[in-house]
Amino acid sequence: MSNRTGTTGKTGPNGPGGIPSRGAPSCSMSRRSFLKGLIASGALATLPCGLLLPRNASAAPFSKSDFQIFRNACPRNCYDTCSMVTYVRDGVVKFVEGAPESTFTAGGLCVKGYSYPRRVYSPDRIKYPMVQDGRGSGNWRRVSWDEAMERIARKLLEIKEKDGNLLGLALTKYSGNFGITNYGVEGMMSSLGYTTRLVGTPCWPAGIDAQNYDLGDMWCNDPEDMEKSRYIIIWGANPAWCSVHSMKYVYAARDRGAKIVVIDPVLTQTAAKGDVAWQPETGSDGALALGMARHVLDLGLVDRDFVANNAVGFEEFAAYLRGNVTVEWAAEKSGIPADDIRHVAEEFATAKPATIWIGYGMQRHVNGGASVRAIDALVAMTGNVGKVGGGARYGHLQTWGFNYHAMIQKAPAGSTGFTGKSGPKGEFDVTAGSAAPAAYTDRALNINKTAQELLDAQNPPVRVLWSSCKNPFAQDFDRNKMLRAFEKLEMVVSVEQFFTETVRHSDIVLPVTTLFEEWTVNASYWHYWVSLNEQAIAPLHEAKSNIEIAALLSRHMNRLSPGSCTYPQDIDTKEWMEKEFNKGVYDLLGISHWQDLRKGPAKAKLASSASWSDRTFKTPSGKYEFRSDLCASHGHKASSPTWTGWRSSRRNPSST
Amino acid sequence: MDISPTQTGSAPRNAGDARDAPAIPEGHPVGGARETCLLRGLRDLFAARGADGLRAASLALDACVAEHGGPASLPPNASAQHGPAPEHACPPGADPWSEAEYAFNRLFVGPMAVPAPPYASAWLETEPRLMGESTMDVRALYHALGYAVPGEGTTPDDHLSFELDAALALLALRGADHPAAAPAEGGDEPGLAVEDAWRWLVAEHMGAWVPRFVQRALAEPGVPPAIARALALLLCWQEDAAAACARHAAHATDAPATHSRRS
Repeated sequence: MSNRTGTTGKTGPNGPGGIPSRGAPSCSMSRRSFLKGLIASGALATLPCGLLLPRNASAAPFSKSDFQIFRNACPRNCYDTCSMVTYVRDGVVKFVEGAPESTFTAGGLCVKGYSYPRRVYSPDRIKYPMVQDGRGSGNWRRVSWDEAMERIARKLLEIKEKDGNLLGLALTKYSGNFGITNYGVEGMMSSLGYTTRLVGTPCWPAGIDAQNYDLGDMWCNDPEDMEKSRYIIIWGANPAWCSVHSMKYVYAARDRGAKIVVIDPVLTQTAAKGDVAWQPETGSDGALALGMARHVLDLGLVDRDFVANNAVGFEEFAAYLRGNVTVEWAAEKSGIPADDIRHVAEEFATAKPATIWIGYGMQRHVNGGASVRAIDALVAMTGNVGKVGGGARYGHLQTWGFNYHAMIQKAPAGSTGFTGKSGPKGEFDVTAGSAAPAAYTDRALNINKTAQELLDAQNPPVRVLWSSCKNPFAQDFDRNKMLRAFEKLEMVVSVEQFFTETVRHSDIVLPVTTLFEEWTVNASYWHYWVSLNEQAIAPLHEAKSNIEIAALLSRHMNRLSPGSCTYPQDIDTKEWMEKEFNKGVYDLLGISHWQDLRKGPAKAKLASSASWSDRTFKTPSGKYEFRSDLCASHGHKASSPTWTGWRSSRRNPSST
Repeated sequence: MDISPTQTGSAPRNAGDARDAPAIPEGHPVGGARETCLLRGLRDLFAARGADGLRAASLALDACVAEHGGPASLPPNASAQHGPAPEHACPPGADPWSEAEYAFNRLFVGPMAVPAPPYASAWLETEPRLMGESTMDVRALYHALGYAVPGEGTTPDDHLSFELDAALALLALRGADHPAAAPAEGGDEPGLAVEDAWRWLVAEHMGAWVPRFVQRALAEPGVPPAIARALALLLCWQEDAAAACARHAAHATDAPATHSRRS
């Protein structure tokens, strides 16, 4: 492109013309001058414009090039959940940067974060509601929002009439937008009646269960205290790519003498930056942790005070180790030399404090939960639980105590639904135990078996699938089965920003807002900062937020069948963001009003940067549980962390 | 869509809403009947939001070409009278204009990533993105004319249809001794601002992206004739207008020899 230095309004009043040089000779006049010439003209209303509208505003082409500055938060499912500052000029996001007020974000973003303007303004964005004539045909038509919603509303009323309930409507939604008001999608479902939900978590359930058994809750130390660690094991996580803001604490710890051990089957960028990089056989993590625990036991480096006074079941665990685990066995299973295991285990047990960052990758295997339990045990037996700079770090939900106003909606009067056994709940489910048992519930299908569950569901079958913040074709496994499952569906509605594989297999696509186009609030499952997300620009094209879509659907449902949907029909995303706050959130953050967050993100006021610093655990015993009877009662093989080998079809590395 | 004073914020939100036949003031002395009907037809075609809009705009272009003649380079069958697609390309029983609508959306609208986004900034920015500096350039031009796109800030100003609409406006200002062609400040001769705005818009700005846009779209397989014809007409118009710009400039001024020729 030609030089753009002569863009109108940027040159001084008597400055050089600076029109881009590629034009014809006679075009070399300042663009500003022809603009002024046009402005000087009259009788403009008679021009033959059919699309452009007369503009009443001041005709000055550019005003002073100041920026409007907004607070935003990255809504992706990411450790870092960055607090952002957005710079807007002429109603356009010009650039973004990390909020300097957050010591975690510390003024910097990752590459994806910095490139957000490119995402918002991508020519490839889905711009309009569209209908596909023939799923997968690629034959799309533009429709108005009203046309799209009326089509959906009529279908929902049709299946409700046919089935006597709305269990034929299923929702699949996960973490595509973690702004709290986006739980309004679940609210939209509830406001229609009892529906079918793909529930559970495809991300981190085994580790959550493990930490619930061991500690009573998933609750990690503040990542910012990692700099006080004397020894850091990063186990199955790759923060150099996936949590770039955490790396500064890892480096700070190393500057203070800490050793960094990275355990990952892949030589990741984090592994490359570590002092020690282990590449164990995939899925052998539990065996490796148990081998290290055995060596710590043999060396007599167990924190006797902790295991005696703050834990239960340690002696059973120790007996299991002595009877079933050797360092050589762990070396054989993992492929890590026995001497290396001994060396790192001894260093880990003697450095105080020492910590292990348990990544989500390592629990997505057979033994996943038991492996996390084994690592928890290694951290606990060395006395590192409840210590600043210590801890078995997996995640937390301490800062998620919002009202979930958008999510909690009432079924229309007279709704009927599911009466069978309720299924699993999502990790962010806040409704558990909050209400008396209802006569009916939603029907829960396992999100980790989406394709099979959609195929198997009967009485009624799933007829309509609503997908938001999710791309089942990419995120749920068994694509071929998913194709068959989608063939069973009578209507698929996708709410998306871009043309995913799921949109390709949808009947209707609805364009949804980006973070800059709606109000919401965001918390992290890793650090302890909470960020306001302000609407910085008008939604581009015809995009609407998830809760605005719900309101519009409600309008059409109620028009066609009064009382068929309880969702408010007119909502304002700012008001709904405000409704998410409560005194608990304010007190935790040390603020008196959400408006305080306009000055910058706020961090939870913690008694200590260490979780469990008072060593009062939320387990049934109130202590750390090397032996968890709850775990056993849930049908798992052993109450102590054990390693039971790979799935039988898997190649055993020791046989090669 | 009639031209009438419109309050900010009450406008339809995007180009495609303007699918109704445009109302051009009757008897308005515009700068060439052929160019006017051509621009109007192209504007409406690229603003079409469905089969009906495509059909109406294509028939209007037919009428325009029939009355005033088309560029010699157009394929002989490139007329809406022959339908938007060859008979064999259409499934039996399918409405050919629906098929044209699907093809139009695959080329220009989505929801999939489109090969030829009809926005200037998609072609002129350092990386493909809308609402870039080139968008602000045309916004400044519309503002100078006293106009704005409906839903400014939501609808990118540099959609091809808006730019053609602005060209239509400038064409009208050029063609008549329109009062709008008033002297620019500093004692410039009357109409100079309009001439310069026209040259900037059609030769420089559109010249930088429309040829690439047209070539990219025509490189796609299965472009229905009605759309291919419109793309060809668009390119011919833009090139002719830019060439006329250059000729006019060479004729009207003592252009120094150092001026480079448009390539």
